[in-house]
Amino acid sequence: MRLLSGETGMCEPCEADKQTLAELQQQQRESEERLRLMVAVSKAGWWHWDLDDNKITVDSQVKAIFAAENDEVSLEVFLSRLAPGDEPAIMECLSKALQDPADFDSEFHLIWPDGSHHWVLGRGRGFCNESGQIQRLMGLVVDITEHKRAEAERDSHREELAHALRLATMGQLAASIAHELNQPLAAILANAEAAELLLNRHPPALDEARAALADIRKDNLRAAEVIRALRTLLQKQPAKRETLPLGLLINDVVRLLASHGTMSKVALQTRLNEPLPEVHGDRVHLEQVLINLAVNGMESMLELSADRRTLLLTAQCPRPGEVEIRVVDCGTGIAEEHRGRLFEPFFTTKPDGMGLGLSIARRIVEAHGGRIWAENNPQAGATVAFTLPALGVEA
Amino acid sequence: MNALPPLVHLVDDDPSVRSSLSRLFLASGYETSQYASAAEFLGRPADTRGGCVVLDLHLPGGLSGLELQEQLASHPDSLPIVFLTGHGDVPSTVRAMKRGAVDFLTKPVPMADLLAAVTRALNADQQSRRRRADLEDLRARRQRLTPREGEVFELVVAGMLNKQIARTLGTTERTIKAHRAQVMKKFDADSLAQLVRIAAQLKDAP
Repeated sequence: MRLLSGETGMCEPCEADKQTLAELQQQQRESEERLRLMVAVSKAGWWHWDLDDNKITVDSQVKAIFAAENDEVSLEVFLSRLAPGDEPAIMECLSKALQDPADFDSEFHLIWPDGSHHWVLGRGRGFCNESGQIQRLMGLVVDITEHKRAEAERDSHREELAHALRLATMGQLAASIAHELNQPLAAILANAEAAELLLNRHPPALDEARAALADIRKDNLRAAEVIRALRTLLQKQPAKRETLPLGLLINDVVRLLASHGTMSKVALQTRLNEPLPEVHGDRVHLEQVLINLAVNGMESMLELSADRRTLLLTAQCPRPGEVEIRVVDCGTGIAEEHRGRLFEPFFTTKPDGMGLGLSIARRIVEAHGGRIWAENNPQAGATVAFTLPALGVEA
Repeated sequence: MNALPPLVHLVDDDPSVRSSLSRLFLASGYETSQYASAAEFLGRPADTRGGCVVLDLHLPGGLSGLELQEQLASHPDSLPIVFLTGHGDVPSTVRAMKRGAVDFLTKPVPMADLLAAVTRALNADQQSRRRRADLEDLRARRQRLTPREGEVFELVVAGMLNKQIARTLGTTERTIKAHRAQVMKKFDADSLAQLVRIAAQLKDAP
């Protein structure tokens, strides 16, 4: 393989030219060696596609990456290895590269004849002839399977950590959630027994019994809602993206926290600037962020007298395309020296804290394209706020 | 005292729980009144009607159930309390029972248990009302004794014989006998033992 074609045989060189030529050849050899070393070390494969004679030249690394059987890597071999789902993106990338001499890059997924899966990163550039048409494409491919695996593993570890933290938080809230379920269950039992008494009367008090049954249905649905919200939060599944009405999400969280507020003697208030927009993201993760921030806020107020403990949850759209959610407490506030470290993993000011809540909240918010920050309120306490990209106002 | 049937006061922040319990009590023949908070209960118009309080342990904002119990306990004529809670924790139960709660029930509570507790609470209320009424009656009777009769009453229940009393007060046994008969009549007592019991009741009363 030669990276540059020699320019010999144009005319008879004189001694001085020979000298220069030797130097140039030396430089060229060195340059080629350097390049070869870089390609070898980076485990990148080099390819060159001449469009005039439709000839594809590749090095041994490319052959290894594509598991080429007979030392040949043609466009057909490439496409036959390509995972079916990646084909449209690659075809689009290629057709663009053939029209525009800009750099191109893409990640794709190969399936070798032995059935194994490999991830490849490709980068290249198109070169034009004198008339400005793309004449050849040249580029590098790198096997990034290991990198991808490590990334997936890290994602799954993060997911497990987030899930563990959700379980821990729910453990903290268990008593209040039990209360939240017990209320409708208590009402259902009392209504059922009342209905029995009413029906056993002579004559039966039918209207009042019917009213009891209607209330039973209402409370049954209420208990089911609590369980649904709880189940959503406790499930362990890879993050998924869906369109979510923010208002419903906040209401779910408030439902789960209502009794916790009562037991910690915190008045939980919401100020939602309705209609709230929809957001794109993972419901469980976003609810986890809200619950973490709210529980933190409630804990910060334990030293206050009960009548002064108020946690305010607000949501509004300060700018088009963005929604801002604020969790405002009136607790002890954030010490100046802690402000910079609040969102660092394992940073905590609580004796029994793990220091993961806010760092996970930040990771989740940033993965959703938002920002999160904390500030002290002018009067008392602190606010933790985050933004999310807003999709549009829910109908 | 008055002819109104006893009233079951329901204090619970959850409207569903309140109205379902109310329906159950009404169906069981009790009258009820509902309050969403301790403050609402304390702010009700004053009355002397008998009854009891069915009180949720966890009330939002302001006073909790236990704190309301504490406030009510300072009134001598407070109503007996049956506690209801979503989840019973041992320390709260102990605190509530120590302060004289009639029962401490965990939601959801079967009707039989709830009605039994409320019946006990209403009985307790009736008894304490009767005791208070009896005591007031005795006090009124004590007021009606003349100063001399009062002296004789104290000495009689201290165990003195008529002769000793007559010597102590510087009068005749005959006069003491007459005072003594007057005391027995005013207290509507027909034995010395009963008179002693009355004296003890008057002394122990708060």
